[in-house]
Amino acid sequence: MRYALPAAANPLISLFGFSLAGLLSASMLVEVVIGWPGVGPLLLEAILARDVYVVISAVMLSSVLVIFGNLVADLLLGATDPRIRTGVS
Amino acid sequence: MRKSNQLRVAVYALIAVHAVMLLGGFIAPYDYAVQNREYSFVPPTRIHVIDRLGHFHIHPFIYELRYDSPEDIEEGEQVYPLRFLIWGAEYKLAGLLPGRIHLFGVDEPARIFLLGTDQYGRDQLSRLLRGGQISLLAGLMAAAMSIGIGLLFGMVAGYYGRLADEAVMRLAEVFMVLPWLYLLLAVKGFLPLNLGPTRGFLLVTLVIGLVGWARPARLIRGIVLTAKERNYVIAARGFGASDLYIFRRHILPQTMAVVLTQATLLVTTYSLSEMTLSFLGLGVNEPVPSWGNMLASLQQYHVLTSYWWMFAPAFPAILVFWGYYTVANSLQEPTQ
Repeated sequence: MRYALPAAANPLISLFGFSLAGLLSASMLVEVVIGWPGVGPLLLEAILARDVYVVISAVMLSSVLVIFGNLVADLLLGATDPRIRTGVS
Repeated sequence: MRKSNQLRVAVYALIAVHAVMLLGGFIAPYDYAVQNREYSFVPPTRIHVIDRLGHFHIHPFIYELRYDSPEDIEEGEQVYPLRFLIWGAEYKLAGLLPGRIHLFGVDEPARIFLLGTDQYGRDQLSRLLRGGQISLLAGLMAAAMSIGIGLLFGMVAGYYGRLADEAVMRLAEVFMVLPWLYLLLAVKGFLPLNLGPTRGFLLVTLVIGLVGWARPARLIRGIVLTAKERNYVIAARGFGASDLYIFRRHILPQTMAVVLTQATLLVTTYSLSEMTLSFLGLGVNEPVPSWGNMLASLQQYHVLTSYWWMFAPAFPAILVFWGYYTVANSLQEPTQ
């Protein structure tokens, strides 16, 4: 584990950044099914009610979340792998 | 089960399901939109061979449903034998050939509901077959579109390099990073809600296919980058072959493995996306069924607990997805 984890950390963190999009979509579906009052059902109702501004803000919120998550993933990559930090090719 | 056996079973199952879906109109006893309001949430009809007096009939039969009150629907007395290859409602086989012959049915006024009915009394088996046509076709068409766009962008990005590569890759990142369901809902939300059934279905398929081209494009670009440096490609360019010739003759065959794997995986993903959209009410419009539409009624508690036959669309969906995943797995084997 001590030796496997450093080698596996790089793609693990990249995958974490990329999977945020899928997680948001899946969480929206779960929220709709179980009745949790999250952003997912809010977006759905806004679309059915043609509430354009709520749709804009919900999509923007999700995009900002995903971009921020990817930023954190990139910073984490830099923190864990000194080669990325110093730009060694 | 051994790997090769698994693959063979998966392929047979897929062929069987697609054949059944193609013949959907023929196999289904009724039209998918016909309502029988008094037969709301009726359990599946039982087919008997031994009647109430204990006599054995070679010809299977059903009992007519007796309607006393909305809560009390039981089997009546009258025996209706099961008939095969009867004339019934008009349908279009595979959407092209009109026909009226159905595989099985019973004489009027009895009804045979092999998978029960829903709230409006529509036969679930007929809706299952029609919904399967819709969901599977949406998955196939959207996957074809995604692969097409992904091939185009991937080959351009990989072959021409530098500026084209950067531009296409940044665009692909935008599409990969946005949550697909949010994007899908936002695009679908700004379109008119009341298109006709065909146009609505085509629009949903178009939107699903356009959102997900980024992943195949990235993989194809990777293949093209390595294929571009092969000896025969360099030799062909040295001899003055046009770019189109090199694409068609040398690079495209190299990408086929990735394309086929991606195609099988994308069919399942997009079929599931279409089912999700219909489940949320934003896919195909009523009364056109889709497996998602049919599962949407399970969101109500009384349907979820009392009417077990409404779960029916889930099983062919699981079968189809398992089949495609197994095929994709074995296609990926040589590269691993």
